[in-house]
Amino acid sequence: MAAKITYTPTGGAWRSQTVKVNKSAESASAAADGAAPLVFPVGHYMGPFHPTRGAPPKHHIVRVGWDTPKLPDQAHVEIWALAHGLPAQADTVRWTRRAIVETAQDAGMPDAAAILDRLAELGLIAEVGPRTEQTREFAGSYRLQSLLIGLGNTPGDPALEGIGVAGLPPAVNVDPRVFEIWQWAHLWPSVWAACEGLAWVAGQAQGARPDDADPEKLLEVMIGAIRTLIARNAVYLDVAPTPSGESR
Amino acid sequence: MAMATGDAATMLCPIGHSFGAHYDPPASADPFFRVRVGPDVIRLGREQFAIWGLAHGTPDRPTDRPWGRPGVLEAARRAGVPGAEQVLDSLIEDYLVVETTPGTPSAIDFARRHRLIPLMLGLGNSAEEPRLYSVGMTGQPLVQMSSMAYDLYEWAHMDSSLWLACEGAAATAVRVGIEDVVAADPLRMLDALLATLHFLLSPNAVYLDTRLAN
Repeated sequence: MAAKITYTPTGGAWRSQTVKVNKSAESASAAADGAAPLVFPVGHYMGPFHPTRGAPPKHHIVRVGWDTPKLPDQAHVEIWALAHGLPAQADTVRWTRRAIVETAQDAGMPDAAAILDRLAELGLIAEVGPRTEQTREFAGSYRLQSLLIGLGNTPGDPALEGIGVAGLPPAVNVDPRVFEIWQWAHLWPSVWAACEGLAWVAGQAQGARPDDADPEKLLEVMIGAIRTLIARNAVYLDVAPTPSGESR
Repeated sequence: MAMATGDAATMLCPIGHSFGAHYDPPASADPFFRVRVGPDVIRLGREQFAIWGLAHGTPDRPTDRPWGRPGVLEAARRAGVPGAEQVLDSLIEDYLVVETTPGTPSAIDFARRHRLIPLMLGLGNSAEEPRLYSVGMTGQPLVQMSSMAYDLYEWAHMDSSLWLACEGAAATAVRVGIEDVVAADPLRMLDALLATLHFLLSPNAVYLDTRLAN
């Protein structure tokens, strides 16, 4: 059965396109790809730069820390956007290089593997291996920044909190754990520091279980939450600030 | 804290990141509203949240003067928010709405106490109008601005206060030889930003938070 999903997070005109995904192939890929690193985009998108009136975009800008690596052309924009994940699959498919390359091929973009290599060189994607130390290294190297506003819950479904743009339907509705990460994680200088801080707070709550205060356990939740949120541009990943405190 | 002046040159700015309504059935049928300021989430009642929302500006507000007390109270009257004046005073007292007057020392004080934090994506400029930059979400440009304002949109939150961000941006402008007296002067840059701030606040393209400690 083919599932029709809409792939929108593209740069420049951020035009929409439809990607058809063959679900049986998707399942086979996921099973074979279980230990492959997850791919996350890094940086705050700042759009195309047209140097003069009528000129095509010279490049697209992404802010990463105090730097602005450039996406040189539309193909790089598309693949970086695709690295965010597809909202319809954000909670079900491990978003690995293989998943990205296959989805890109289905959408008629044949050079995704080489472009992912270039994005990695530019620091515009992070790859998170499955081992604990690999996840910890990622969590110490990057921070989460939240976008959009909370749109609240509803009397009919109080367990789900909306995140989005005022006056529009929520970009995403999330459970309390994901909402808590969106609300608070950006206040810490790294994903790992956020895990430690949020786990400490959770451990203080009445009726807390030992796992609640374990930052390693929270990091597992955090990795899933980041995908849920980043696929809707409700967060972005930035590099964690260095102790020396760079400035522009 | 200074009491509200209502001076025509004084603008009102909402502080905090909105988390929206929270319903807690069956304990209560009425929601409360949540705004985070620094490490605290403040619970607001319906009228407080309405006035805090109006302090962001309204789409039909006059753009030739600062968005201040007269505009907020008139918008509240039209929206039928009861007790608006007292509610606004309480929000100012509770530091959820701050008054500042561009072009005066209070503006620098305001900028030293707050950060400007983006909530949307930068959508860049266009071939048709390269001097204007948009922010919004994918396929949804919501507000346009000058390159100077866009520069602050991109970078200001990296500094621990808006004032430090203006000083850094002005120093950069001087260093790279930008011949624009506004862009090279942090105070003039701040005044220019404040003149357009509600264009950014009203669609929630940015929010203001308390400054960082360092």
